[in-house]
Amino acid sequence: MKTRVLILFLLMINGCAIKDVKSWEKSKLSKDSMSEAGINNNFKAFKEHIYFSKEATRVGNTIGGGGCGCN
Amino acid sequence: MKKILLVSLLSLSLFGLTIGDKLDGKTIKTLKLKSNIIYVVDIFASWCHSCKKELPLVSKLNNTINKTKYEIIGIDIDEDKKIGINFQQQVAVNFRVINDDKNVIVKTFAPVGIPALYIIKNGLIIDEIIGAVDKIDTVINKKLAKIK
Repeated sequence: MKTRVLILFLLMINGCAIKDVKSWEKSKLSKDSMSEAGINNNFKAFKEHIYFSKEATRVGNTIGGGGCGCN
Repeated sequence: MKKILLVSLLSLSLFGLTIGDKLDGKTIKTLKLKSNIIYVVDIFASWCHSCKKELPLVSKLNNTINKTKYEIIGIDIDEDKKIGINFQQQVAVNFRVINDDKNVIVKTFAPVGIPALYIIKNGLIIDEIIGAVDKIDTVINKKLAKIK
């Protein structure tokens, strides 16, 4: 009985778990399109610029220049 | 007894091969390993940027090693064989490569990261280098020199 409960429990854990991505499964993740910025790296810089300037107004993770996001 | 079997099965699925582990007969056959040669098995892929940096150095090492004692084998884990072969030509790989497009071999080794490099003697893993390493050719050479 105990063994059956244990097996059932382990199967349940396995079913609910978010399985980690194995090293050989990372081909799609390594593509540029999978990055936060997408294919265009300039867009990443643009997004970062807005992030830092906006965050600076609310004392974010850095003291950035400006606060309007326009410079 | 059942519990031991269960735990061992679970642990097998969690961990890959590491130093001290012996390869199974099927993998030895697939890799065509001989008993009197020390093998350097390099697992790589075209999408792995570190592999792109390391492979020319491994090819350079292949030109200098004693071929009667050592052999370098590449395992290309690209799911698209054509992309893999193009990549091998692009980086000018000069050693034997097995295209593991079905990921059978890599699943046996189950490394935590790519590139993964294993040194194998008589079917036994005696050393491993997981992840990108600076001057990989020198590192492998030093490891090979230590093997008796």
